[in-house]
Amino acid sequence: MKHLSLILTTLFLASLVSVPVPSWKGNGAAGFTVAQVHARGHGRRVARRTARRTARRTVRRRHVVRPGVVYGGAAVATGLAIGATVLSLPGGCAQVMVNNIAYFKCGSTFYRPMYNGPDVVYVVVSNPY
Amino acid sequence: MHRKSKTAVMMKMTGKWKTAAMIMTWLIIMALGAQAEQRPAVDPEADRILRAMSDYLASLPGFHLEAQTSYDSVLDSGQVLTYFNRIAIDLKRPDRLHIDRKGMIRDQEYFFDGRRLSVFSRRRNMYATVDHPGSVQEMLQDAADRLNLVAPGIDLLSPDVYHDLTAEVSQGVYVGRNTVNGVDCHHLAFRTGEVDWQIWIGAGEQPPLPHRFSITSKWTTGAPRYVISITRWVTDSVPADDVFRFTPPEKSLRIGFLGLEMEGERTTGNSRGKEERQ
Repeated sequence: MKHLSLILTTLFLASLVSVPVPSWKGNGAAGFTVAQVHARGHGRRVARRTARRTARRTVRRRHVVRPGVVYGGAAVATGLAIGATVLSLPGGCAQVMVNNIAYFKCGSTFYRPMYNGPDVVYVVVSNPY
Repeated sequence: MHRKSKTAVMMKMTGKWKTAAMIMTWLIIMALGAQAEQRPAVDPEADRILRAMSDYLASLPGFHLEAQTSYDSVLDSGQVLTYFNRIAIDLKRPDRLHIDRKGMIRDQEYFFDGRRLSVFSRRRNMYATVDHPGSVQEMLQDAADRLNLVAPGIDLLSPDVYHDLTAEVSQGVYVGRNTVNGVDCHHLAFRTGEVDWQIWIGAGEQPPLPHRFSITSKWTTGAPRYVISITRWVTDSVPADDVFRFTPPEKSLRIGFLGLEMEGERTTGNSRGKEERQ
């Protein structure tokens, strides 16, 4: 019974606290300086949180698309797992069309450009040929 | 028999049971109190002005606006960076919308012609298109739900701005008169559980249009803000239909939406959006 009342109290107190849900949560490493942020051109993505853009809860997301974003692009382009996404392509890529779908071939790795929300990301895919 | 066992149980109500009962009573009282507190306390003057703005916007068959938006981004270090965008919005009720936004990170256009939504990224010359019959409201809700796309100024595009904005409001005050972007405005401030927001609405001889709207995510460290400052309103004409039609530029690349791929559905339709809309 002690447990029950404890649980009830906890639940009740938890219901009182409105937990802010960040509209976007990055997974960037901590400790970037502003200069580094701008050098990378991905300030927003290094951010932990941004301001909510609406005064009401418009987003009732059923599927939160939050793939593992890999930083560093070209530097870590080799050996990326299928399904990993990068924010920019390494150099020396060729655009190819396979079955009417656009890909970029960079060395032996294929990337498929896609919108993740309003941002274009490149998803590592298996050889589409 | 029943009564007897009941009494027996009552008798067995030891200290622990009593404590539990007391806690339960306390919880109920607190819950009732919390509910009473949640009744919105909105200054009638603020309410009247907000409603007038909403009615005025709803009466417009369409409009064009130009604005500067800014939003704060809080780095892991706690440092706050502010990013600016220039945006232009064309709306024709009920089912045409065009948004152009230019900024450091985004350089994009959104087109909605009542049948499909297209997102075009100028710098990359890439676009994605999704079929979406329905109204602007349905499209925006679905885009937020399924594509993770939240359009700038979305709050002001609703056919019932008053309803949408005040749904979660707990408090509202009339702050005073102030000049915003050269326009004499009423300044109103509202609170909700998660965000506080402020709006500046044309006063006196001015039509009751919003000229600035800001949202503070107050529980997020650094209290980041989103601000839309409207520098131009065109309300006496409805934007022409071709504004809402997207024609892919030459050599542009059509790509998909990760959100749709992850849902495991390639097609589009909004049957689910319809089910869920309020």
